[in-house]
Amino acid sequence: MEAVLEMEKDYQPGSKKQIVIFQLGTEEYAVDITHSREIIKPTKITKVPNTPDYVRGVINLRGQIVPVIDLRKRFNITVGKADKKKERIITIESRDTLVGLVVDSVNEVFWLNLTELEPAPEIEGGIKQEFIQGVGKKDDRLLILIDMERLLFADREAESEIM
Amino acid sequence: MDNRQYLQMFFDESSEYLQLLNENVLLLEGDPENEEVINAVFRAAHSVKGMSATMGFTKLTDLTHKVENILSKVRNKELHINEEIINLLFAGLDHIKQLIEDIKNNGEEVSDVRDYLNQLDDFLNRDQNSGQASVREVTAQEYDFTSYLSLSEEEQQEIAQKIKEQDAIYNIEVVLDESCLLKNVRGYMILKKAQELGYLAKSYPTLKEIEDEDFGLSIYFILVSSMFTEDMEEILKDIVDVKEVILEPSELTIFPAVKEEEAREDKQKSPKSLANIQVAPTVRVDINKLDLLMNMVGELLINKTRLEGLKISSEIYQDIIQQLDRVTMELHHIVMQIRMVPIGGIFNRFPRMVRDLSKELTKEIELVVEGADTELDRSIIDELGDPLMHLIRNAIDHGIEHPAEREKKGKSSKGTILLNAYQKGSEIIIEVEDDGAGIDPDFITRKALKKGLVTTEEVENMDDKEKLYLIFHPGFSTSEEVTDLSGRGVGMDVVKRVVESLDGQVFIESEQDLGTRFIISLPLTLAITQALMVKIDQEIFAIPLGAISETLMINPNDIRQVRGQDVIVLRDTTIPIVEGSCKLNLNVEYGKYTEREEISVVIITSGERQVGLIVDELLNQQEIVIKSLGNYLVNTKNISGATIVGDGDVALILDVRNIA
Repeated sequence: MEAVLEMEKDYQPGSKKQIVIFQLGTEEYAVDITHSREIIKPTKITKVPNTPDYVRGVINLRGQIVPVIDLRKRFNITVGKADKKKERIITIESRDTLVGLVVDSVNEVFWLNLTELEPAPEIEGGIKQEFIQGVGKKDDRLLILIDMERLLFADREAESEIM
Repeated sequence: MDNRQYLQMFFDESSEYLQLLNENVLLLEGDPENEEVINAVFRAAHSVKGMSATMGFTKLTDLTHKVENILSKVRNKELHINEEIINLLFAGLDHIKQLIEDIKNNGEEVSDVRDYLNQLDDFLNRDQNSGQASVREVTAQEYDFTSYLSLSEEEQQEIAQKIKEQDAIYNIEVVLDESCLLKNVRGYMILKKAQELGYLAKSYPTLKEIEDEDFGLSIYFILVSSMFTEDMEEILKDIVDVKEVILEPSELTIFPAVKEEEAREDKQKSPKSLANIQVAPTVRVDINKLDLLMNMVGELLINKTRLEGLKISSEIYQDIIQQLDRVTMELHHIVMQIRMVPIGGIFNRFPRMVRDLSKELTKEIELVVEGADTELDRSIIDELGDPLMHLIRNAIDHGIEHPAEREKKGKSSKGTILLNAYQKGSEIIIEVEDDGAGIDPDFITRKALKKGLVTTEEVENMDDKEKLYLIFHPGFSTSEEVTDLSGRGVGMDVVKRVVESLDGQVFIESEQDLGTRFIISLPLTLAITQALMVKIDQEIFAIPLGAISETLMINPNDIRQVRGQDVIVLRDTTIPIVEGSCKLNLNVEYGKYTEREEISVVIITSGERQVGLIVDELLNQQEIVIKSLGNYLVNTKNISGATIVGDGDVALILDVRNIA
């Protein structure tokens, strides 16, 4: 319900949204800056057993335990080799939970005009459509805006319902 | 006035008073003549009324006012406690509770209490005829001033000390309005004002009695003052809720004595009366602040451990570390102490429940409560109410038999439920025990089979104990006829889930026709615990010490095989051993441990089950701060949380209950 309201608010003509653009393989993705907390360099990640393979583990972020998700693995992105030196963790807050996303690199922060946001096309073999909030453009670059709440909790909830 | 900031205080205090009322009315039922209890009930009801009035809740004020009327008649011996009154009082308490709930949920008093108020009025009117004579007697007495305020020799001398040339002595009666809700406050204000006007020689009621609101509508006092009567009258009348002021010169004639210490004595007088109304020196603290404090202590502890890890060989460093160690330990201890509250807080709500339910089911049940002063972490206590209530309801509903049936079995017709709490090491044990019918394991299994919770083969391999534990299975509810009390589908599995979410365990002991005992064991506190650090596949894991019975180094030759399972024999007990890396699904080759010369095994105890957990290496024992893995990873198998170890790394905490 809240998400719907937020969307409507967002789609008011002329409204803009600040997004963080990052690289995964050959594509550029983005998250709403209001969800993101900070961008940190990779630190030591402790593996957590009995979790899906895209969960890299947990890190100690100033005393707080933060799970870290490998977005490449999450979206099954195999193309392009990541430069370890440029790798970053973006911490995202959703539903009072802090989660870290490992991305190949963080490119820039950008004001996206929401009127230019188009509904997501089905991308072959890549990220599932349901996790995409829309596709935006910057010059001739395509930016895939991720719906963080769905990404983090949608399939988790489905899982627990089955259990 | 914006009352919102006071609302929480109102809720806290009113629920405390309600609890007190419930307890004392229950006591009154057993001991109707106990004046101390009657007074306690009266005072509590009165406080609730005062609070409601201050907050502007009219229905609540009205209701408590009427209840208080009954109590006041009981106190004045115009009414005698009987079952009808007790039931009326209990009903009233339920209505008060309902209204407070309304305010909590909807912000206003929704429930209709008119029926109950009419019931009360009926009751009081019915009683009026018998009580009238005595009431009138009191009224007649009230106007006899001197009978209340005759001055003793000493008091007359006291006045002689105070009185000055132009002073006169007055007899004053101040009558309060009948609708006055805060009589004690008004009375106090009147006497304070009187003290400003002159020397207050004596009052009836006394200041102390006024604070306890132990008086009617009139306050009488003797005042020595130089003011004009009209002025005094006006000042006194200006006080809120004052209906009438009757002022007349006293017939007493006392001449001023020689006095030197007047000033000093005056000073002594006023602080003394103020001291009477001081409240107990405690503070209410938001539980979130305590959580925050606990977190900070946790942080401090982690950093202390990191400092210790530096191993600097300097004398000063050693000294500082020792000091720091002592201070952090103390601090941790104190914070834990602050968070501890006696479990009696939740135990106290059960006597009333047992009374009501046993009446309803026509069973005779006595509830014995022991160890109510056992202390537990606040956050744990808050969660425990519902599971305990469920266990007690079950004991009443399914456990204790009807009196006739009990006598047939050769037991006393009155059943007993024992609610007991005590500390055992670093755990708190809570027991709910009844001397009822016990649980029939075969009945449980039949039920479980019928519901398809288990298969026939599974049942064949179960002993009686395991069969009993089937009642914790989700969706299991044994009640044949669904009563109002238990057997609503939300059953024992909820009890188990809540207790486990608090890092505790539930056990059952049951003997047919002798009774059932549920045992809940809980950690003293949730935040910090002692743990053994172990290494499994290059990663460090923490195992809470409470779950470990011992650690061993074994030789591959010690390993035996039972039905394909590796076991060791330890002091005549066969204990299965499992590999830690296997339980954690780590990506390593399993079974390699048999090639090692020495194998480190941690014996884990969970209830009555024991399991030997094979680890690569036993490290140190240390205090760990338990941190959650967060919502995202909340249901990770065999991992219950994480902690931060010396060098700032994360170590995962093994959920040993599920491993054992």
